[in-house]
This record gives sequence, structure tokens and C-alpha cells, in this order.
Amino acid sequence: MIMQQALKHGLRVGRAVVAMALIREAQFRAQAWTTIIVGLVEVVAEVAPVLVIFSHSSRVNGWDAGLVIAIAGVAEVMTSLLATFIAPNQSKMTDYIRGGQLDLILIRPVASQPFAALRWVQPAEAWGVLTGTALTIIGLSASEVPVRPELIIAAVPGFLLGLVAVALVWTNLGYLAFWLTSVAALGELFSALLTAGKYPLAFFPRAVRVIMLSLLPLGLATTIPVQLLTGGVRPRLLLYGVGLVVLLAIITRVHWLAGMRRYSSASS
Amino acid sequence: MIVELRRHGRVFNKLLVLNLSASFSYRGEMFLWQVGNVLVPLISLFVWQAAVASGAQLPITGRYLTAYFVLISIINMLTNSWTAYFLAEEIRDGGLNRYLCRATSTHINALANNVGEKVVKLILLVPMVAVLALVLGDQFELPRSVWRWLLAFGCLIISAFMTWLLDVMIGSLAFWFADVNGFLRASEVIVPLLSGAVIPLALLPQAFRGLGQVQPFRFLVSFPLEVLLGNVSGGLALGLAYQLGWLMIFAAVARLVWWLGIRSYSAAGA
Amino acid sequence: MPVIHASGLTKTYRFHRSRVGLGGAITDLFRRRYDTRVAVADLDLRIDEGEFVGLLGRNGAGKTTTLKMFSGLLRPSAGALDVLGHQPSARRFEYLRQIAVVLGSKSMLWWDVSTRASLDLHQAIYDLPRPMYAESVDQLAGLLELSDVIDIPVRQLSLGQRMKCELAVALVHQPKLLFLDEPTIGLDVVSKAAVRRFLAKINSEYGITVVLTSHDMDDVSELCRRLVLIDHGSLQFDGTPDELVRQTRPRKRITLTYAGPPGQVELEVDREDTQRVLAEAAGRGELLDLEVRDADLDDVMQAVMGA
Repeated sequence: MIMQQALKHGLRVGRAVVAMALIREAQFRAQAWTTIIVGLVEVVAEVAPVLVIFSHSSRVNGWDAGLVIAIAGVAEVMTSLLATFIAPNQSKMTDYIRGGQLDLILIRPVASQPFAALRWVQPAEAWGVLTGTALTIIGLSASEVPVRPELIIAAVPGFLLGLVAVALVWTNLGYLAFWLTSVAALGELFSALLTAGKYPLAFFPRAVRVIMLSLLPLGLATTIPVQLLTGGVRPRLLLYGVGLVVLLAIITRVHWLAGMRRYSSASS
Repeated sequence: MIVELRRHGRVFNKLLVLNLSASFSYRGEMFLWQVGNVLVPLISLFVWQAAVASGAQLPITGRYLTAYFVLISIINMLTNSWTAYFLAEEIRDGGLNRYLCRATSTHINALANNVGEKVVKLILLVPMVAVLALVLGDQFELPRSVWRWLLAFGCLIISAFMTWLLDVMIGSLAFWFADVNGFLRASEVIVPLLSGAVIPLALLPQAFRGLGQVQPFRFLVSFPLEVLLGNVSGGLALGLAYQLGWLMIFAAVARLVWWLGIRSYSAAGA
Repeated sequence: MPVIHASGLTKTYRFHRSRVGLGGAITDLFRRRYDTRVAVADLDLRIDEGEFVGLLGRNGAGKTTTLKMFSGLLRPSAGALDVLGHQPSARRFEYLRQIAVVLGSKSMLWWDVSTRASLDLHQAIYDLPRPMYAESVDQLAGLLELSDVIDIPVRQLSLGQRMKCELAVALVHQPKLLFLDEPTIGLDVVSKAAVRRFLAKINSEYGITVVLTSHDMDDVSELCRRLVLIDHGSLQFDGTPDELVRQTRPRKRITLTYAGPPGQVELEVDREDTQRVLAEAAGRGELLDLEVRDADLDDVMQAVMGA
């Protein structure tokens, strides 16, 4: 009963956050129009390097242009979801903690960790979900590798696991603001490294591949879902994803609690 | 006129010193940005090396490719400008007033800020690139001719100035639009693609190569590197002529846009 | 000799009126509604050398617009404006070096470095000869008691110290005319007093003409010898603070405290009746305390703005 009420309350807060973001967004005429145009330009920018590479070669390390475009599409979906929900909050972590604005979150009667993590939403960024999905579909249908539609059941959860894993890593980077003076640049570095996610794991040296499946689980969010669709890897791999997410979730919770202890003892 | 220029010069010097000392207090952040600056081209290098290993036939050698992606971080950083965002912000929140009611210009500060930060970033970036160059030492070589380095350096300065002028044009849009983030984003996506920061322009498909050669963005990043590595498509003399031509056009347009903007700003206020 | 001479000064804005709610915001994307608003209407004003003028009015009354036109940040829509023999909006070097503008909320100090570095920058901006600059810094540091803080990075200073540094930086080029927009906003009592002492001094001893906007009536009553009241963009009053008080609240306020009942009594009486009321009050019982005063500026402004 109490759980249910807490959940309802959480949902209401979430809806209010999104509604406010939408209104704020629509205020700026230039932005609303340019968001759509920029979204299309970004698709071109996403695909152009891939097309240039495949204008010189028909297959790279066993991948054809279609599948690489499909991965680029999945990466676009991932980055735009992260930019919508995660980035705007993580970029504020330094201000929250250094400027004491976290106090304003802690005095609100809502669960503070999710509220601090999801308070700001940038709906304009979500446009990339559409263009990315379109890109994925185009890439898959252009590919010479047969795609097994029934494996969508495995690919979608695979993507979500990867997405959550990447988001949790980013959140932990944000929490470093509890210990360091500024982590804004760390977030920028992280989002720059997201570009690696739009290429198949097979393009990278072995050591980089290991990183992209663990510390910086971009491969889990982009390459693996596409490989699940083409039967390149077995659905059993999802178990690894679940394990990683659980581990990261525990780390995130412990990290937050430790940070809060430091925060409350520091800001007396 | 000369008196005025000398006064602006002295203001610039003072601002440069201020910006240098301010930049040093953000060296931690700048270090991380530079790590990103080195790692992102490295991702591209891996991808292209995979393509070459799979038998791709490129119009340039693997050694050129490696040198390009190792050096691009330095060129990219040195030619980069971040004035558009700050200028737009100043116009929007009225911070511009501080400069307008004093006998100086916000542009002098923006230039000093760019130069100051670049000095600090260069100190952080060069060691990283040196390490990368050592690791990849046998895969590429650098030109020996001093003249080549000097000429490339000259082109680099023009490139940096052009990028800054482009930023003034984009930032000035804030005189007419309440929010210019869309324009900033668009330029952040288009410019790296067309300037050669993401893909060497020499690798563009045959059909686009001609267009890639004459468009202005090539002269923001790619051109100085082409000069340095001795692979100027279309020939050095023609390239230099194009760069100077585009510089003039950029300067004229930036000046016009700024002038129109200030006129409407003091008509409408902030 | 007039320092500022405005006649028929007018400023109109066109602005976009946003619709309500999400639906309205979406409609706004396609069709905007524009309105024109007159911020300053047909203002005639003459300010002479050495004056200390307070520009008063409620938020949005047009006083900041007026100040911005005077300082050259805004071009008037109509009318003539002459400041120190210049047309301000041309923003010529010869004009700008004679004025100073302090915007209470916009700092010209560099955050990460000391005030001295910002002062050095202003030496270059205004092209000040070395000896004059050195003398000017000495003088300002003395007047503002800044010698201890001038070499400390600005971010480590308190708000009060920062405002004093802001004033030093603004005045280092020895301007003839100073525009102040809310200079004491957010300061504590001690800092406010220090800023006021300083402003009074530069006006009386160095003859700098000062035009001030403030919502702090203590600033205004202590500093300004002349008040200009603007409402809805037009001039409502121009005269001394006393005149303003007498004009809007001519009645005296009398507070009587009796030993027995009724205790404390407050009366408002017409000026000419004061004597009679006082005589009568004394006969009503044993008086412990007696106070007669004019309404203060705060009361006056409440009356003026409420109207």
C-alpha cells in the first residue's frame, strides 16, 4: 500500500518534470525548428563516416555497410536517450554538491537519488530516438546478413541492459563530484567517448573491446543487440548483461550513500 | 587609427595575461578535455586501420593516415574556438553591456580568451601526443623541412582566426533569436565533418572530392595539416589562394553581421 | 552647464507575448503576437554638473531604460539627447572615457584574479597615463579602504568588498559622470554605509555628477539632492526630496506617549494645525514622550507607487 503510493507519487513527479521540460522547450521558436533540422543533420553526420569507409571496401572485419549503419542507428538511440535523461543531470552534479544546491533536492519529500538523477529532462534530444530507429531499420534491411525478426525479443532487452549499464557508469562519474572539486569535464570526456559505440566491437583491438564490454559498456548497448538480431551471439549473453547491471546498480547505490555521508558531514 | 590600434593592442595584452592566469585555475578540466581530444581521433584511427586490414584500397598511405590522426588533435585544438556560445550568452543576458559602456570591445576579450586557453591546453596536450607518437613511432614520420613547418604554422593561425570569425557570426545570431543552441549544435556537427576533423578529406568518395576542396570548412582544420604533411590536394598555391579568399569573406561577413546585430541591439535592448 | 540634456526622449519596444500553457507554446511556434510598449515617453530632463540625482520608480517604470539611453546602451526611438556634448548611442571613445557605469548585478571584475589585475586592464582600456593611473588607484584604495583586499582574488572577497572593488574599477579613469544601477543591492548595513559615504564624497569633493537608481530609500534620502520620479515612462516629479515629501504626504506625524491611558497615540495632522494639536495634547495628561516628524521617503514611495 505504502509502496504503491510512493510509486504513484514518483510517477506524478516524473510527469510534472517532463511537462515542465516540454513547455520550456516550446518557448524557444528557433530551438524547436532547429532541433528537427539538427536531428536530420546529425543522422547524416552519423552515417557519413561509415559510408566513406565502405566506399573503399565492401566488408570490414566481417561487417557490411548495412549492419554498421544499423549499429550507428542503435548508438544514436542510445546517445539521445542518455542526452535526454542522464546528461542534463550529470552536468549539474558539480553545482549540486559544490554549490550546496543538493540541499534543495534533499528537503523535497521525494526519493532523493532518483530525483537528483532524473530531475532535468531535455526532450529535444529525444528526437534522435526516432531518427536512430529509422537508421537501424534501413541498415538492417540493406544488410546482406539475414536478420531474424523473432530475435527482437532478445535484442531489445539486450539494448536496454546496455543502456542502463552505460547510464549507471555515467551516474557514478557524476557522483565523483562528492570527492573531487569538479567533474563537469569528466562528463564531457565520457560523452566524447560515446562515439566509439557507433562502430562494431570487431573494429577495435582486443584491449579496447574488453573495456567496451565492462568499464565502458558501449558495446553491450550497440554491437551486442545487433548481433543478437543477426544471430551473431547467443541470447545467453543477456545473462552477462543482467549481471553487469546488477553489479553497477549496487555500486551506484553504495557510492551515493557514501557520498551523502560525506556531504552531510561536510556541509554542516 | 594607429592610436586606436595601439590602445586595443595594450588591452589585448592585459586581457591575455588575465585569461592565462584564469585558465591555469581550470587545468584539471582542460587536461580531461585534451584526453578526449586525443582519444576520439584514436577511435577513428582504429576504425580505418581495421578497414585497411580488411583490404580497403585508399588513395593515401597507412602512414599518412596514422600521422593525420595523431596530429589532428593538436590542429583541432589550436584552430578550435568557443566564442559562439559565450558571445550568445553575453548578448542574451546583457553581459555585453559591460563592454559597450566601456571603451573596449568584447571581441578583444574573446580573442585573448582563445589565445590564453590555447597556450594552457597546448602545454597539456603536447606531452599526450608525444606519448602517442612514441607508441606508434614506427607507423608514421614527420616532415623534416623547417619551411614546411613554418608555412603550416602560418596556415594554422589563419585557420584559427577563421574559426573564430565563424563563431562571431554564429554567436551574433543571438541578437535575433532567443535561443541559439540549435545553431550551435548544427555547427558542431557540420563543421567537424566538412573540415576534415572526423575524416581526412582525401578519403571522400571521388564524386565529393572536388567540392571538398573548395568549400570553406576545409581551411579551418584540414588545410594546415595537408600543408604540413605535404599532401595538398589541388596544389599548394591554389590552396593558399583559397584560404586567403575565404578569410576575407569570413571577415567581411562577420563584421557585417556584428554591425547589424549591434544596431538592432541598441534599438531593442536586452 | 548641463551634463545631460534630454528633450522629448522616447523609447518604444516591440515584444512578443507568449500564450499560456503547452498548447499556447506550440501555437507560438507558428504565429507570434507582438505588442509595442512605450518604456519612456516624451521625457524632458536637464541635469547639471555636480548634481546627485536619484531616478526613482517601480519595477518596469522606465528608469533602467532611461539610464541605458543616457549611457549609450540603447538608442532612443525619438527625441534629442545630449550627454557631455555627445550623442551617447554613438559610443565614441571620447564619450565613454568620460562616463562610468556600475550595474549592480553585472560585474566587471575578473573572478579568478585580483582586483589589481582588473584595474590594470582598465588602465589599458581607457588608455590612462601611468602617473595618473597610479594616483587614481591610490586615491580610490584610500577612500574605499581597499589596500588589504586589492591583491586578493575576487572570488575570495565578500559581497561588500566586491562592490567596493567594483566601484574602484569603474572610477579608475576619473570620469565626469557616473551611472549607478542599484549599487547597494544585497549589501549589509555596514557595507551600505561605506558605499554611501564614498559616493557622497566623490560627488562633493571631486565634483562627479551621479545618476542613481535604487529601491533602497535610505540610499536615496542620504545621497540624492534631487529626485526624478518616473512612472509609466513619463516624468511624475522632479525636485528635492523634501519637496516630494511635502507634495505627496504634507501632513506631519505626531507620536504621543502618555503615562496613563491611552498610552501611545499616533496622529497625522496638517502642517498648519501642528501647533494647536501639540498644545492641546499637553493638557490631556502626563506626557512621557513626544515626537513630531515628516513622513519618510519609504512612506512617500509607497503612497506614490500604490496610487
